Amino acid sequence: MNRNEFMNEIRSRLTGLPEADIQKTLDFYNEALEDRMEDGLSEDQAVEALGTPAEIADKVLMETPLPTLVKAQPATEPKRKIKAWEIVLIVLGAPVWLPIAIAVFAVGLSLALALIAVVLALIFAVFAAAIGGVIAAFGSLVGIIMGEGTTGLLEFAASLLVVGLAVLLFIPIKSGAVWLVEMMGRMATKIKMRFIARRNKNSQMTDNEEMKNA
Amino acid sequence: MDTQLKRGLLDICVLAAIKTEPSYGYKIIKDVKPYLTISESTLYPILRRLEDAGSLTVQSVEHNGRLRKYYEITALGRNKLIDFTEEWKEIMSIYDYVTRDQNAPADQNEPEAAEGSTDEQE
Repeated sequence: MNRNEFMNEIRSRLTGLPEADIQKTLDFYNEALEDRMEDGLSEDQAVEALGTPAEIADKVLMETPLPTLVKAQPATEPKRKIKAWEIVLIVLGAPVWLPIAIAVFAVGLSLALALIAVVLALIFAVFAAAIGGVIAAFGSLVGIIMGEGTTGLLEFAASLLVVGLAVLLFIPIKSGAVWLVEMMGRMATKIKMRFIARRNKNSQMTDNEEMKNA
Repeated sequence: MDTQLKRGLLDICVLAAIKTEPSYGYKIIKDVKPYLTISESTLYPILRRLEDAGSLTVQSVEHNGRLRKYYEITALGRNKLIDFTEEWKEIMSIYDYVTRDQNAPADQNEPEAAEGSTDEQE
């Protein structure tokens, strides 16, 4: 593979990404080629040393934020002809599948949001308890000084208890929040990998079609 | 090496490669290679990530009639290296703990385990 073929293949595999990103990638690999050739490698050897365009493009795609990746979806969507009966089925079935699809999506989204809300609520509750407890402790101290002996002491004990609980609960809640963030990161990576796999499959299919046509 | 660990170490090695003076892609690869397997396709995302995070800045400098990108470490990047050395001390103490168990003869491990169980009963 010569230099131009190499660059063109990287470019075509990145189709749909912002042009600035593609250019930056190509510049980087151009520089890498130049430096290796300056080091005494031939053009072909230098290209060889950089790895295949597929793995280069996949790594760039994996680092691309998910929203950009979704927007960059197939510039090369395979043109599969939808058969007439399929259209009829899709249209006639809409009253059935459309609500189901919306429901499935909504349930998934609300589950994710609920999970986030629960963790956030717990964090706020713990902080509120800690702050409230500290204030109540001072308040009850004032009460004791003012002469409300027994009640003040009881209040003081109760507020210390609340602060203690808050500190104790902070540990599991913190690890819960970390877990949640990690889970979301892993989900995003999985979704990304599926997107990239689909991109590659699509471009392969169009490649094959082009070869058949040629 | 564990991929997750290697990923973190690669970032550190790239920062270490530009710590004394700005460097360029191919040179970074040559410098890091003796320690970790690294190629352009792994380096490129790392450089972009570090740039986005503000750990390094990029300057284009002319070289042999073409532009070459030089990567320069920032104060933030230096802090990351310091954090790494701090963290590494903890890891080293874990390493000592792990290797101690490995080297100890099997019969010496058993009394320790027995002690542990009596502790639990108390």
